[in-house]
Amino acid sequence: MNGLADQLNIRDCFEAGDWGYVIEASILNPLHDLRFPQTGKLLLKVDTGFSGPIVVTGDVFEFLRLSDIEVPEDIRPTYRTLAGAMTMRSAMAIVEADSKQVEADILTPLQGPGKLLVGCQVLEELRLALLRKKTCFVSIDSLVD
Amino acid sequence: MSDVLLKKVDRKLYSRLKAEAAMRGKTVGQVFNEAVRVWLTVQQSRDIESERNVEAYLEIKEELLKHPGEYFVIAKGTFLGRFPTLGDAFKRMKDNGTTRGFVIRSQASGEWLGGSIEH
Repeated sequence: MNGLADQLNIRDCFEAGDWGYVIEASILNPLHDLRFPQTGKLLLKVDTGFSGPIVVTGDVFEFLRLSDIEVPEDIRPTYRTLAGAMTMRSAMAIVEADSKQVEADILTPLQGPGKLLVGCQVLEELRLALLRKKTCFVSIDSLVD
Repeated sequence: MSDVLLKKVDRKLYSRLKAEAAMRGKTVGQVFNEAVRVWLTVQQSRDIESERNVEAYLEIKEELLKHPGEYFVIAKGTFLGRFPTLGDAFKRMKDNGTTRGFVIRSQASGEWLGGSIEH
């Protein structure tokens, strides 16, 4: 048997909450040598309906001092939602997940408290499997990055 | 000079301030005035720097679309260059002794449908 399941190596798994599937990650601002959280990992909701990278709450954005390096107002990204367009503040940082570092835009809503979630732009850099009520980082023997 | 009542002051911070002020033979009020002057000056210079950064950004804005995937760095009112990686961009900022500015990579907007937006 050389099916995909046989070649699947499951690493870290995270139990889904009532609010959906999650992964653990950290966010780094190398310019200020800041990391959130300072110890342990952050739970980010897996949101395949979001085409962008990472959304964080306003206080995480401020903690990481991302407002010091955020993009100018006129090029803030806008996302189409069912309730209309949503403009986001955005700054570049590093997302650390599954022992990988991914350069990503970190977003937070211009208005409102925001959420903690990971969208498709970062998800496509990771190897994830949804196994019943768990999200797992996996590697596949026959696939080379 | 007037007397002001401050609310929600960090107790530990206040104790340190009081001790440091006493060591220097000053009152808390005198040190507070000095600190506020410094803070206001820093804010003012930050505002001026931010405006200069916006001006520098507007000058190179057209270039952004010509180099998708590259990181453009603007700080201290100057365009510091474009870089292939975020690490290189941050390194340039650090070499320039700055921790504020624009780090820009051309990014597309997108959609956010259903999912967590409702929860």
